[in-house]
Amino acid sequence: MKNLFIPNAQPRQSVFLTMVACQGLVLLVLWLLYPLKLFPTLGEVLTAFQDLVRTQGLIQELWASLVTAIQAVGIATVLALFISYLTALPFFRPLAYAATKLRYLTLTGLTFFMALMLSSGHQVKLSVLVFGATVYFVTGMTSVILTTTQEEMDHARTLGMSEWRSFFEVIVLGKLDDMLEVVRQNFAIIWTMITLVETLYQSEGGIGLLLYKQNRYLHLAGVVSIQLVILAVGALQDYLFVLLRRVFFPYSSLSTAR
Amino acid sequence: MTTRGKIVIGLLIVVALYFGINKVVSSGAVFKKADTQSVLLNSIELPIAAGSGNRANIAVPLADLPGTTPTEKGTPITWEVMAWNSQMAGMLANGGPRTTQGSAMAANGVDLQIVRQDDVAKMQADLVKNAADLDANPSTPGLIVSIMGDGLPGFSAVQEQLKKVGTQLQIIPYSVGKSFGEDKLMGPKEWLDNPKLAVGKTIACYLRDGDQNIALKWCADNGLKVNPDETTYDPEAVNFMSASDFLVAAEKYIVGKPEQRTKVVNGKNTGVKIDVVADAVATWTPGDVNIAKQKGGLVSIVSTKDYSNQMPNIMVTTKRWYDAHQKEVAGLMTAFAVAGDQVKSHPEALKRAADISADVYADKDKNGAYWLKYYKGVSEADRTGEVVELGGSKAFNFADNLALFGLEEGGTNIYASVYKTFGDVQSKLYPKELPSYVPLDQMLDLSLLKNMQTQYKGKAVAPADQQKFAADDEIRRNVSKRAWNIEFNTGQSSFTPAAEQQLNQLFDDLVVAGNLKVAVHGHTDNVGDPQKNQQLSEDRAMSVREWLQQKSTSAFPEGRVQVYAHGATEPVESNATPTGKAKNRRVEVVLGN
Repeated sequence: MKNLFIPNAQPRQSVFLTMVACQGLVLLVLWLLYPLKLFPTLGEVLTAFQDLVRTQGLIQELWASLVTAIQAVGIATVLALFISYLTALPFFRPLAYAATKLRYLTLTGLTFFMALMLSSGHQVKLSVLVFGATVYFVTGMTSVILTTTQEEMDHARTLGMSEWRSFFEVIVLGKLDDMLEVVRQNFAIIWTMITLVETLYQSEGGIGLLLYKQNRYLHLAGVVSIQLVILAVGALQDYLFVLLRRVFFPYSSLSTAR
Repeated sequence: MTTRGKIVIGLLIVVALYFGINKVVSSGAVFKKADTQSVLLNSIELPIAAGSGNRANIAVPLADLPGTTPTEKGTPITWEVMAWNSQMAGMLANGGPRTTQGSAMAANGVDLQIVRQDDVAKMQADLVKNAADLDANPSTPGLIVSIMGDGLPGFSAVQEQLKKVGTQLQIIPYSVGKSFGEDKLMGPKEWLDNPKLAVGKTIACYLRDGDQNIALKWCADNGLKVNPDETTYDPEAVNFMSASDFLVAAEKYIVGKPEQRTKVVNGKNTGVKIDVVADAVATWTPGDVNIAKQKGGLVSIVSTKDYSNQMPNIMVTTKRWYDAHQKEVAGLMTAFAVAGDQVKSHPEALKRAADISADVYADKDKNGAYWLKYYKGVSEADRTGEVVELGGSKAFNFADNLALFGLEEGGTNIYASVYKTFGDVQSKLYPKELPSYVPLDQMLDLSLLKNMQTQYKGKAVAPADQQKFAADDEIRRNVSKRAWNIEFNTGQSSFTPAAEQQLNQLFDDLVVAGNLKVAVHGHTDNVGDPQKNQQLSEDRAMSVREWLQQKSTSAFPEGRVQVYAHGATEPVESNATPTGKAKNRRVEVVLGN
């Protein structure tokens, strides 16, 4: 109990989890007992949530958005890894550099050009997401590659590996766990953008459209409940990434402080 | 376990999960969104009014134009507006973005700041914030926002939030002007002659607002079903493609890229995916200008010139401020009335108002001349050589307001019908989003306007715009044609009790379409003597005309309704069966110009 307030302490997991549950409960109780003037009450949010699930297909819409999001992340990851690994060759470095700088672009107006170039609304949706995610992924991944130390490279070379082989062992295989971490951190970008693109192309529905409609009529309880659903999905996603890392890269956390 | 083994097992889990969840989600196991049925829309009941309006016809002399220096005196008020030409009178009344010396607003002790705000959600949020600020500090400047009259039912969703801060919506009982042509449904030319061609087609627009209302009304007038769900496609109805605003709606047609939806037949989801493109667009200036200049190929099917009462500019504020500032509201209304007369009767005043508009709207590429041009409305050739009408608004004066709110002798409260008509339509189509809307009488109190009416009696007020219909003018262009099964007593031209409801619906439809001529065509079945049938069909069409004219003289002046008799010469079904006969005993109403 008392080591919850000691710097750098590592409390037992059961203690820690109980503490987290209590903190969440306090927050809920506060929301229940002291409703804010313009913020929907807990009861209203729950009612709205029920209605959204029962009659407005929240679950289907969430699944549709999730599938689109995972598709986009899959494509963006492959693309970004490719671009980042190419930086091993000096010739391609400007490409990666440019890709990282593209994250400053806003999407307003770009969607119009994409619509002209592509053949359907769905493709525009996917391209916007892929574009948005890729530039962030590349930024993260190139900085991971840049953290390679001289020592790591020299180690591979002294083992008699060729330049290509040492690149493969040290950078491609050796940094995969960090790459996974980059994808996890930047997955959130997709959720921010998915609501935007789903309002651009509303024919296919999705959770973004649901949110847009709730907001249009100031059904604030509905808005809050959808946001909470997105939050919950995000938290679950993060947890899954941690699990993946544990399964596939069991030694990657050897050097973290305990 | 080796890494390879992990990868294989991981992949298997992912594949199983994906297909498993997909199966569960698309089966009936989880709650599904209710399938939406396509709807054939009707309209609603109206207050009965009779009598006639007498309007004094007095010319107003040109007053001095307002100065350019801000007065910085008077009660501060903020007015949020979209870039909309219906506000010309308001612009002149103010003399600039902020009330200037020598303006009508300054003369009435008001210091008004006009702010452009194109985003409706932001307007709603600002109203709520203003109400909260007024609660904390009653000397906070009041906020008034201008929206489209037929969009107010949707806008009234803000009422819930306002109630949380202890107040509610209140309408200023005065309108500065209206859309008169600039909001329109644009579609392929063939739709003009054969509206049925729109079935199975898709109209792009900003849903649940004025532009869509035009399209909905046109569909209803032509007896076409509409599919309210923007994520499905019904081949037997008119479908809508949702755009995030009116310019994006035009863009959807210009770019012409397909969007994927599920096909619905008879309200049942078939699960078949289908690609749809925008075949038509409901939008307003400059959306229509963009379509004409960048792609072309669409003509104006129907516009607020035809449905001339649909879109008055309605100003709303909070009841808290309104109740505490009756004197200022009256001052505001008087200033608008004075400026309305000036804008309507004097080109120099209108030109000045357009220059002030350019200042307020602050689009670098649009000067006063631009706003003036599209205020008046123009006809231009599009890229394919088709002539399209673009723009068009009207400023109101005091007499126009008396007509709008039904304060003339024998007048109908036109705005009340518009509000209720479109409120009902939207809430019927979108019960989830707009389960109910605020009844108009909770927001509208006409006493200030009535006070002005007694005050103004016999004083110089320019006449209201009256629809002039030449009695001998034939309808040259049909806007809509619909058969109404108004039941008559057999062999007579008197109505059955059931007909009353049909007639009321017809009345509402025709009031909203205030600028169109009406042709009533009487038909009978083939029972009995052809000559008698000819006479009977004429008598029946005549009774419809009389009924309409008795109900509202202001909406149906002499010459607006024409009568045609066809006897049994134009059956729509075979006269061999009783149902066919019943179908043939009908009155068809054609709207056109």
